[in-house]
Formats: sequence, structure tokens, C-alpha cells
Amino acid sequence: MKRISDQLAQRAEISAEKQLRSVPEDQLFDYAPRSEAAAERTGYSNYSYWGSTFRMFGKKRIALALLVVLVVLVTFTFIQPYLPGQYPATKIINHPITGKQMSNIGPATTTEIATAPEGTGLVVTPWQDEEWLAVSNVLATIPARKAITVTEHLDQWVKVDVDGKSGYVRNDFTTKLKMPDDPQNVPYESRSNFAIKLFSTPMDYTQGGNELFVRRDDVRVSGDGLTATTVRNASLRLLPTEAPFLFGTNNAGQDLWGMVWSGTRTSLFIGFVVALIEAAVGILVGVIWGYVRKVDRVMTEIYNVINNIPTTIVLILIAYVLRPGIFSLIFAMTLTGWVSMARFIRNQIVIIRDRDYNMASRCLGTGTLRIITRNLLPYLVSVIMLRMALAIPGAIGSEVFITYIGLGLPLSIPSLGNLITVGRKFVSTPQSYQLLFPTIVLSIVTVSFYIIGNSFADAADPRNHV
Amino acid sequence: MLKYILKRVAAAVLTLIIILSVVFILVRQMPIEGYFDNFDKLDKAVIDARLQQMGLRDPIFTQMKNFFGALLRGDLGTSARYSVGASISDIIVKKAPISIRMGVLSMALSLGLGIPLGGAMARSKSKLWDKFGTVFIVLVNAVPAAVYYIFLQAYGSNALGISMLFEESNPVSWILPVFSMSLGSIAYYAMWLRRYMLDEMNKDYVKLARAKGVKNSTVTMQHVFRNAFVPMIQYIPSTLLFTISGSIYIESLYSIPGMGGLLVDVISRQDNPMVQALVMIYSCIGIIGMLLGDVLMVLIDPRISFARKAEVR
Amino acid sequence: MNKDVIFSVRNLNVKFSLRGRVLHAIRDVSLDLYAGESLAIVGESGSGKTVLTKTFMGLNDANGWVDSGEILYGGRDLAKFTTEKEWLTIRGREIAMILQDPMTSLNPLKTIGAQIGEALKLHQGLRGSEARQRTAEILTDVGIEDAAHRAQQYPHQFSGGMRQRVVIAIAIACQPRIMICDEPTTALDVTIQAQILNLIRNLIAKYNLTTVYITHDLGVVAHVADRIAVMYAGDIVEVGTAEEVFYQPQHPYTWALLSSLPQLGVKGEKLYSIRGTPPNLFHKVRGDAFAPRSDYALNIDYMERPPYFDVSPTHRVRSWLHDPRAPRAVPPPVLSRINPEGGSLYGE
Repeated sequence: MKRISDQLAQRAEISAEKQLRSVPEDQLFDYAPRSEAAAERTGYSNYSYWGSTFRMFGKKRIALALLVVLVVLVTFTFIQPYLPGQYPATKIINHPITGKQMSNIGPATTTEIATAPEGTGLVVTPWQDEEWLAVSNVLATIPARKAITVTEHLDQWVKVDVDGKSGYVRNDFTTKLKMPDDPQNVPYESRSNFAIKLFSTPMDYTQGGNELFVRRDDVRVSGDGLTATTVRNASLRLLPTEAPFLFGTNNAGQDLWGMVWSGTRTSLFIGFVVALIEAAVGILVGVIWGYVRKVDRVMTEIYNVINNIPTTIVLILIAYVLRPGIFSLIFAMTLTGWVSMARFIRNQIVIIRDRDYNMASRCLGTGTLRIITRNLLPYLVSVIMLRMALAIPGAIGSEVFITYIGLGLPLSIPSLGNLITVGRKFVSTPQSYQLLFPTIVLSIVTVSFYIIGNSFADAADPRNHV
Repeated sequence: MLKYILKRVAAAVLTLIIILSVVFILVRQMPIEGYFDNFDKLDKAVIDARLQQMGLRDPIFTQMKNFFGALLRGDLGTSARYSVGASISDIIVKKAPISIRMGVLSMALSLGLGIPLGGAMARSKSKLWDKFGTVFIVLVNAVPAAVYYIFLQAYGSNALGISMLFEESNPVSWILPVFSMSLGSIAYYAMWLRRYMLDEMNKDYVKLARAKGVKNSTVTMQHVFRNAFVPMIQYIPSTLLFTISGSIYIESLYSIPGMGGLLVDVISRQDNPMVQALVMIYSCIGIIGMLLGDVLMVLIDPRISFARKAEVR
Repeated sequence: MNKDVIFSVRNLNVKFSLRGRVLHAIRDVSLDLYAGESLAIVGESGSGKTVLTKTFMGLNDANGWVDSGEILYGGRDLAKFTTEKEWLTIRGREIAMILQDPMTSLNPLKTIGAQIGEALKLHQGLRGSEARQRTAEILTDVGIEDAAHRAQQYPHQFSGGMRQRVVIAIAIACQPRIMICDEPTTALDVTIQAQILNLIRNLIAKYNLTTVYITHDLGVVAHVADRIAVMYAGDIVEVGTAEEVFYQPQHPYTWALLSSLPQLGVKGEKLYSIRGTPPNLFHKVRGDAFAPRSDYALNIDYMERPPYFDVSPTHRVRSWLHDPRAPRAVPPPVLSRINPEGGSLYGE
């Protein structure tokens, strides 16, 4: 990316060259026409603070990419509840037939559990729905220790006859069938120590024993309404819906996708509010502190006291004393956070007030307002933005900490903190996705804010402008 | 110099008194359940009598007077729910040694790793070490500690082939907690040392030292590093605070029987006197740390004019 | 004066890369340094004076490099040096440097004695009591009293002028042949400046040093220089003895520079100042870099770089005005106020 001013300068040079090329040989040693513009042009290009800042920031590819990611992510967080096919964040999702919570269902991009080929016979569970049919291929449940006749051995499955019904039974650790020395030599008697299910095909068209759902169009239901046959390859679904659990569900049967985005909203809200309050209070106090010389001493003493208190301890104490809630958390976080901002603003004002270039500026008759907007503000704005950008991941991290030690938000208000605290228990289980997804979103948010904030501060620092 | 130190100590004591009073008053605002182990089963008269007996019905100033009086005798009160009737001082005396050992180890580790990392980053500006260190610092600073502690515990104990929980007698099980606890400080030291060293490298005295024929490596060690390390001293107390808040997570994560885990425990059991005592102890550590940092700075840096020091901070 | 060339620069080009762009800081500079002389390099800020002398010692920042040319000293070409080990045979040992700002050029956390001792150990192999004794001698030499005690003190316990004496003491402790003084008095009080300059002059005589002054203060130049090199936009546009450059300046830039001396001003008259700004060395400079700001620019100045024209055996100038085809240019009349009998321009 070439600077526009450079290009202009180059173009001017080229045109000047063309003019000069046309100088005849005998006039080479004549005095050249003078031009004020040419004398100035040799120097540095004209400079604009914000232009330069944005140009510098534009050069930081990682920060720019993260900015895009962050904008997309934050936007998505806020429009997510309005998208079609979303489960409400805290709603516990039950199976429509059994009423069991849909706990710990792994993440998937579809609700489809299996595809039943055309002509598969299914058992229908009576259930009133226009569109969906609750089905399984479980013919019956065989009680524990009941004798069954194995007629065919298929390794994972065995074909059995029992009570005049013929079907398939799982042959694995879940059934622990009693087997002869040579299981291939059929028929023989067998039994299970548990109640087992008899399936119509050597496939399990259930979800942990729960019925699956199929569109009525895909099957032909028999006259008594108790069995059905697929008329084409039919999708058997987890729930009577096509909306998947992208991030799976948690132990309570809540949709983690919805929870994560709702939690991100909460955490971002806390982060933004904390950053805004810290900035607002900090700037206000800082300006007064810097300008009114009388309060300087008192404020400095107050600062020394507050600054000496470990922030973590304040956080713990306030969160302990107040009831857990978003606003008590925000209060606990901002209680001491504004102090460093105020101190910073105060220092800048004192420095700026006495800096030589401002003295010079004032001596030349520049008004206070102009000094503030031209000399003070650009530098301050950049650092204030850095501090705000860093306050957001800081606040999000504090929320995680406070929740972890048991003083955070109740589970009815999802936040990245309580999602991670809950997910932590699953860290080395197959359900570790319950920790992974909140962690990934959280890390993207905090790392982006951190890097963008720092890159912007770098870019906004006039010392880095060439 | 002595005058400055005395003044600084006086300020610290004053701060401490203010903080202890604030903590005391705040904890008084808590629901009274936190003073009983079987609140639901007690009838109102018994509760009243017990509150009276504990002095919780006295005017707040009387309470504070009694509290500070007891504090001077080293008495932090008795636990209400965590370990009913036990002296808090006794509980803490039992729990503190392991926390202190762990904290000291982790501070040593963070200096031992953070300083070389910062130095290597400054010397290889924009090259491999600098990039590696920058990624490390960004991750540690931006990702909340709670998150990477969990992953370190899960994958670390897997890799080391040990249990996720801490066993005092097994030295291998010390590795993960201590390392986790020092990560934040390592990043902090590395970040500041790098920044200070780069600042120093651009200073004229470094140019003069090179111009007089001192080897680059000697310049880096004798001039740049030495001078950059001096202001680092004021960060040692801040990392003490990191270590404290780290220990609160870490100890409960690994079930380490120390003070940090204890704090989480008593918070979840709503044991008011114990929360109060622990919060006070942690504030003391924080304040003493900052005091030490300031005093060390004065002792080490010949430039600091003691009167100006307070202004600079 | 002894006319042995001890240090010689031939067609030196130095470039820097800065944020992906290349800055041509030294453009084809040639310069000789004679044993025992004092050469002053004058020019505006950013004209490349400091870069040039830093190149002599291999002290440029890592993003700078010698693009082409030779730096000949003691039978070796310093421009070919690549390792630090090679440069360590030059730095301090052969060439020492005095920096501009004494407030920042001493390590604030080391005693004065330690900082001088470092040089003594490196270049004279002195340690312990020997080093302490020599430190005290040198400190006395540079006019610091109570030297043994002062050596134990830190830089912040010294005033600006005193610190500059310490910096000079460090240079002396190296026992160099050449001493580069980079704006040695700019950061000092006017009252101190003359003291420091006199001190340097005395030490030059005592230790038989060859010196290069870098300055934009023509007063200093008049006070100390045997020869003057005028730099503009990374190039030496005029070089000659002090008398020649002051009394018969030849380059329009030198004219402009001298015209802007406040000492030449007459009360009530507007002081001369050079128009415009120096060229941006990120761009390629065509012709005479000074042409756009010059009152005497010829058409050819915009097209082709002038060669050196010899004015006298000791005086060379890079200006087309000396081409036989050029019109005869008359220097600004104000320059006649530089009075050969007036002696030093430096405020007495």
C-alpha cells in the first residue's frame, strides 16, 4: 500500500522532470525559474495524526484480521437469538415422548442420527404431531434372564427368536449375552443378565433408548398406526426439528450453542460497562485532580491507599458481601479500576500543562481549548482507548475468576465464567466439548481485544509515526 | 533515606488500618447465617443470645475496638462454620506453610524464567525469541488464568502421568501447580524487562559505551540489563499479588491444603469470620509486598531523590 | 601542519531501511583527514553528519549498512568490516567519541570512576589501584577537582558541564588517535561552552589527537576548526580550510548557511533564513539537492549532479556555478561582513 501523498509527490516530480527535459542545450546553464512550492516539496509530506494512526494500524495485519473477527463475533452475538432454529439459551430441552432431559449430547451439525433405507420397518410410538412421527425399531424389551434362541450370529448382533417374535439383539458389553464355545454354531439358547431390546433390524434406531423422529411424508403408516415402513431413505432425527445442537448440550439438557452466545453477551456486557465506567469516572476524577491543584495532595493520598489494596481481594470481598448478580459484579470490578485511569489522566494533564511545546503554544496565544484538542486529546484518546480495550478482557477474566471461587453469576444467567466453571468438570471426559466451546469463544474475544488494543496504541503513539 | 523509609512504613500501616476497618465493616453487613453452623435449626432466642455473646449486637465502634485489640494479641477470632469453634489463627498456621513454600518456589521460578526470556526477547528484537515470547505474553495476558490453569492441569498431569490432585510427598506433583502459578509473573517480567531493555538500548550512554570499545554482549549485560533490571524491582510485589490470586485458583484446583484453597472453601461455606480473616491476611501480604518494592527501589537506585519518589509513582 | 592523511573516505554510500523504505543517508561522500588537524563537519540537522561519523566506528543502527565505498584507516578498509571483533580494534582504541548530551551519555547507575575504568581496562589494561590512580589523573586533566572522591560519585551528582568533562575523560582514557566530537557543546550553557571547547583544544595538544567536530554552530567551528566540510542532504558540498570556507565560500548552500549567522545581522534588518526544507532522502535526489531552495539554481542543477570543482589545492566545491559555461554568480553581499581581521566569530 503506497501512501497517497507519496504518489502525489512522485507525480509532481515527474511533471517537473518533463518540463526540465525540454530545456535546450544552450540554456542548461541559465538560472532556473524559482518556485516556492518546489523548495517546500523536497521536505516531508504533510502529516495528519489520525490519518497516520489509521495507516499504521492498517499495516498490522494480525490486528486488522482480529478486528474483523471481533466485529463479526460481537455482531453475531447480538443477532444470534433472532436467527431461525435457535434454542432459547437456558431452556432445558426434554424428549417429547419420554420427557427425559437431552443431557450431554455431543456437538453435531445435524439432528440426524441415522438414515433408514427404503423399506425399513419401524415401530411407531403414538404421539400427536402433524409433521413428525416418533419411531424406533425396537420390537419389544426382553426381560433379564429370559431364554432366547439365537438363530444367526453376526458378531455385533445376533438374530434371535423369542416368544414367537424374530429380531436382532446387540451382542456387546451392553448385553453380555451368554455364549457357547462356538457361537457360530446356531441355533442355541442364550440369555442376558439385563433387560435387553429386540430390534427389527441389526441397527439401533434410538437415541439411548429414546424414540427418534421421522417426517410423516417419508413413511407409510400401517392401518393400526403401530408400525410404519419407510418409502424412501428417511432421516431419523434426535428431535422433531432440523435445528442441530452445534455445540452439543450440557448436563442439564440445555443447548450449549445458545448458552455460549448468551454467555458471551453477558460477559461482553460486563466488559463494556466496566470499561465505560472506569473510563468515565477515571477521566472525570483525573481531570479534576490534574486541574485543581488544591485537591492534588488529598487525591494522591487516596490513590496511594487504594493502589496498595490488591485488586483481587477487593473483588472477592465485594462479591462476597453483595448478592451475586451482574451489577454487583460490575460494581466490584469498577470500585478500584477507575483509580489507575484517573491517575494516568492526572499525570498527563500535569505533564502536558508544563510541557515546553504547550508553554510555547500558549505563549503564541493558542487557546486552552485548542491546546486540549490538538496537543492533549490525540495522545490521551489513544491511551484511553488502549486502557478500555484492555479493561474488557480484564473484566471478562475477573468474571471467570469470581465465578470460579463461587461468587459469580447464578447458572440462570449464562456467562462465559459459569459455563467454563461448569465445563471444567468435564475436562478429561468425552464431554470436554462443554469446556472447549466456551473457552474458544472466550479466548478469541479476550485475545482480540488485547491485540487490537495494543496495536492501536502502538499506531496511535506519535513516536511511531514516520 | 531512613526518613523516607519510615514515612513509607507509616503510610503502609495507615493503609492497612483503613483496609482492615473497611473489611470489618463490610463483613458486618453480611447476613447473620454466616456466624452459625446450623442456623436453620436454631430458634430466634438462641440466635439472639449467641449474637449477643459474640458481641455482634454491640455498637460497631466497640466491635472494632475489640477486634483490633484481639488482633494485636494475634487472635483472629473463631471459625463459625468451616471448623466450628476452632481458632482461626490455628487453622491458618497449619495451612500457611505449604502456601508460602509454593509461593516462594513460584516467585523464584518466574524470576528464573521471566528474566532470561525478557532478555532474550530484547536481544533478538523481531526475531525468533521475540516472536515466541510475544505470543506467550499475549496468550498469558489475554486468556484468563482460570482457563489455562484448567488445561494445564488436565493435559499436564496426563503428560507427566500423575494424578490431577496434589500430593505433598510427591515432588512431581509440585511441578504443575508451581509452574501454573508462575506463568503470569513470567509473562509480566519478560514483558517489562524487554520494554525496559529496549528503552535503555536507545539511550546515549549505551552508544557511548559501544563507542568506547565495549563488546556488545558486555554492553548488554553490564549496562543495558543492569539498568533495565533496577526498575523491575518495583514489579516484584505486583507479581506477589499475581501469585496470591493464582494460589487461590491453583490450590482449590489441585486440592492443595493451603490458604488459597481455604479461602474458596470458606467462601462457599459462608463462614464470615474466616472470610474476614483471610481477606485481611491477603491484604496485608499485598501491602507489605508493595512496601518492600518501594524500599528496595530506594536502596538500589542511586538516582532516586527520596522526596521525589512519592511523586513519581 | 603535518599533511599525512591518516583516515580517508572514498565514495561512501550509506543506506538505511526504515519501515520497508530505503533512505539514502550518505550519498557518495569522499573525505580525507590529516594527522593532527581539526576538521569540522557542518550542516543542518538531518544532513547526515552524525551518520557519517558513526559509520567510521561501525556504530550505525542495525537497519543501516554501507552500500558502497571505502573507509581507509591504518591500511585497512573499515567499510569491509562485518564482525564486531574487527570493529573492536577501532572503537575507542583508535577512534573515540564525545556525544552531544552529557545528561544522558553517562550510565546513571555506575560511578564515574567505573565508567572511566572500563575504558582504561579495555585500552590500557589498567586495573585496581593503577586504574584508580590513572582515573584520578585524567579527571584532574579535564578539570575536575577532588578527583579521587568524585570518581566514587554517580552522574546525577554532577552538573551538565561537569558531566561533559567526564565524557571527555572517558574518551581520553581510551587513548585514541582520532576523537569525534558530536555537537560537544550544544546541550550546554553558553557560559560553559567556551570552557569545554578550550578544554578539548588543550587536550588535543596534550595528547596529540586528530579531531572531527560535528556541529551546526558556526561559532564553534570558527573557534576550533582547521578545515571545514559542509554537508547537505548526505553529501559534502564544499570542503576547505577554515579561512577559505569562511572568507571565500563557493557553494550557494555555504553562502546561505553563512548568511543566516545572527552575528552578521544588522539591527532592524530582517535576518536571513534559508527557504524551504531539506530534501526527503527516501526519494531519489536528482541533480543538486540544494537547487530547489537555492537562489542561484541553474537549469542543469535540476538534471545532473555537479562534480567537484577545485577552487584551490585545499578547497573543493560541488556546484555547477564553477563550470566554465555557468554565469558568474555574486555571493550575497552580507557575507562581506565576515571580517578577516575580526578573528573569531565566537562571542568573546
